[in-house]
Amino acid sequence: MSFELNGVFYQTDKEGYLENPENWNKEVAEYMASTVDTELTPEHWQVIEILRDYYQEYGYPPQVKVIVKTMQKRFGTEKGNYKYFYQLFPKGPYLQAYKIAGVSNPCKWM
Amino acid sequence: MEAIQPRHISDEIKGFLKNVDFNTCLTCGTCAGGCPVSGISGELEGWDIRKVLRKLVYGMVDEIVDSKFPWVCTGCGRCIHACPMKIDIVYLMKIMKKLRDRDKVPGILHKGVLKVLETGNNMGIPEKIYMDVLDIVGEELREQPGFEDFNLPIDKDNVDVAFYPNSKEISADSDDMKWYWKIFHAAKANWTIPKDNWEAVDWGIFTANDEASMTLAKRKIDFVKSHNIKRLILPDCGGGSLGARSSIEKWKAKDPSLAIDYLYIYDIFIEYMKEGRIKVDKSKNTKIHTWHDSCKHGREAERMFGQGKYDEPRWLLQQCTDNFVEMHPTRENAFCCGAGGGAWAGPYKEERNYYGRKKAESIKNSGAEVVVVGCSNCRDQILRGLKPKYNLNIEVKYIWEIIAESLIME
Ligand code: SF4
Ligand code: SF4
Repeated sequence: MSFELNGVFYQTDKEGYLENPENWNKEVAEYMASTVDTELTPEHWQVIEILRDYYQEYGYPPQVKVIVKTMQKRFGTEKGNYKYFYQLFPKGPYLQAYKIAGVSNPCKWM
Repeated sequence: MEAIQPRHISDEIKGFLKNVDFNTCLTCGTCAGGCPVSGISGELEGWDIRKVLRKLVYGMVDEIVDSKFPWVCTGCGRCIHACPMKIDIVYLMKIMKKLRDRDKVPGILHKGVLKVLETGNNMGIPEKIYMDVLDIVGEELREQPGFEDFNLPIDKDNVDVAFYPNSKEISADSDDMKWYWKIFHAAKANWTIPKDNWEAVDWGIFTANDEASMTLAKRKIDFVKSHNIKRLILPDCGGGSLGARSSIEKWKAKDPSLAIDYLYIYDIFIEYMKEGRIKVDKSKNTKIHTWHDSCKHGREAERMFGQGKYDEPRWLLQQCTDNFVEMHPTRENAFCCGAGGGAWAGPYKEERNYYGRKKAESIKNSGAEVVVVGCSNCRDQILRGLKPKYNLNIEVKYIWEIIAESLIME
């Protein structure tokens, strides 16, 4: 499967995750967000940035506990808690946050 | 007219098959009668284990190797347990898996084996994420009363027991680790978990990859020896216990200096209770509890090592509740949940759920409100597979979850 943005084709797997996380960019994130009924706000972007940072550094997406902890470190406990995370991504990390951040599901790495 | 040509069977296959004497098979069908795969629909419609054996007798090895059957069979051992001629069907199915080309092993199992060989865990989780997760879970535990001074012992020398986590716990169900940690903490246990090669569960046993299983077991032996650890705890049921144990025993047979002491998770908790190191409050568990006998801790452990873990978990459970019922059938006759042999991580969900109908029936008929288990794959299959599929009105809990939640902290 694939989709097209500004003349560029992006491959996805059968669950709609970006096939190659290296091809991710902000437009891809906006597109992915639309497939999971999400309108990206600056608050969403803060989480996505953490996911991307982690992925870029370790080649692996962070677990939800790690995301929440990093949020806490960067923005304080007001944003660094599970309730806040799930308010932003009610469908959960894998179905929503990972997909938008283009890092797919960890099982894919296997 | 063309004469029928006898099939050519390679020496490799002949070598494997000569360990099983098909001539003694009575074709009685007892094996198929007790096997939850019988009656399956879809691609395997009309197949059952007796027919599979007859096909093998006729030399139709490729048909079996190319089919789903060996991957839908969970290696539960119910067939061989009942077989009057004790034909080793579990071994045969293992050989059928072994003969599958590695790039055609269904789903993620073989990729997981490659990952664990390369990175030390089935999901290839980097060390940084492993350590971060352990850190955070430890921090969360310290926020709970009674555990303020909890410290996770990583790579400690000269301890009593080593305990391995699995990648499911590190990648998703991290809170599940708190239950073990709480018990170890309450018992003032001298224990450790490894920093490298920390994967508990050996997927080599699920793909019939003996070389991988041996490598993984050797890593555990080396860890225990190099840190001068007294005993290794065997967690989970298939890959973590029976698989690891078989390979540890093979190493010992090759070289007695590689022998290590190991024990099952139940044994260590029984020890703590009997020594009075942990105390539990029975009044916390008033619902009706039942015990799920996993095939690899029960029947298969009994067949391979002479003793199944039937009484130990029941004893533990009865320390935690007065409300216990048995399922029927139970103990060595119990049905596998359907997750065994790697089926939980495998791609054949429909077949797995069909398989599990027998367990679901046993659970329903028992009237239990809480099904207690001793393995993460059994837990996931009963909770996430069978419960929704068969509308089971149950909670599914680990035995260590119940112990941890009933601890009396002094
Ligand atoms: S139960 Fe044993 S003897 Fe009977 S058909 Fe099965 S393998 Fe043959
Ligand atoms: S091991 Fe279990 S699942 Fe496999 S054939 Fe025997 S009874 Fe059936």
